[in-house]
Amino acid sequence: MARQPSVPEVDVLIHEPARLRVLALLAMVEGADFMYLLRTTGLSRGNLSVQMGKLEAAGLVSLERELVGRRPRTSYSLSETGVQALRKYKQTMLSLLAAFPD
Amino acid sequence: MASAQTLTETDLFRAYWDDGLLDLLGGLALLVAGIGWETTLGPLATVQAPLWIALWIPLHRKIVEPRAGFVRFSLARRQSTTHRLAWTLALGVGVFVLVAAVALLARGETVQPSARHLVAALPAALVALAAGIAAVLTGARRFLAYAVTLLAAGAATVLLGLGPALPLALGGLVATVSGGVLLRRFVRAGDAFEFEEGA
Repeated sequence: MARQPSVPEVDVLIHEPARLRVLALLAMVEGADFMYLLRTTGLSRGNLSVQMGKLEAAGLVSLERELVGRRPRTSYSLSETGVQALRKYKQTMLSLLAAFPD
Repeated sequence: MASAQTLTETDLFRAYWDDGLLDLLGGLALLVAGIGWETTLGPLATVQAPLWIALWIPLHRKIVEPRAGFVRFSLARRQSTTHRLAWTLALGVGVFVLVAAVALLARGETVQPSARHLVAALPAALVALAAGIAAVLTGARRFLAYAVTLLAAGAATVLLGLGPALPLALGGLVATVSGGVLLRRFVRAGDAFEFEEGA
């Protein structure tokens, strides 16, 4: 008996709009700090803080702490796991969107 | 800020220069050069110009970065910018050497008055070229507007028989005012954003 084809499952961790915006931004640059993400995504400080916590906990983003002069700077970047997850998400979405009417 | 509909790394890079600090410093360098040239120092007044540009990094860290945040662009983008910046700096040094040489040439008594007027417009034309390169480097179109201003002022120098200092001072004034307005707007927006978000 032939296997029933199934609709691909979307990664909900990435698919959430706020996190998707942050991940898309981090995919375009090598790294960015909290303030840059805050200003560029337009999310509220609280929301961004929660989303970054979730992304970090899932291992999709990594943190780098450095001292610039006497000021500490924490910047976020996509981890290798994050890059792979985004690639998979993109493929899934492309295959789903291909079924949409033009 | 770049449109969310067409957001690319290029848009982010262009927005990175929207604070106006570079315009302000470059404008002040030109303004002081123009005024200094006209008053006492002559072509030597251009020597101070690189000092203003050198202030960009510390002032960017002090004023812009805490409000705009920090971003590290891709390695390819950084390498391309460094490469272009090196060429721009080399061109900048060349421009100032040429400006000084042209000014000395214009003072010579053997030069025809009509040729002297053309020579007097050269500094503005050379700085306009540098502004055009800045437009390519940063992707900010307002640098093209500064270049056009300098070229127009240079043309007026030829037509009205003015000295080389006036177009420099005029171009510098336009960039200083524009940069000042942009920076003030940027700082106010940043402070308001910080207050609203931090409340």
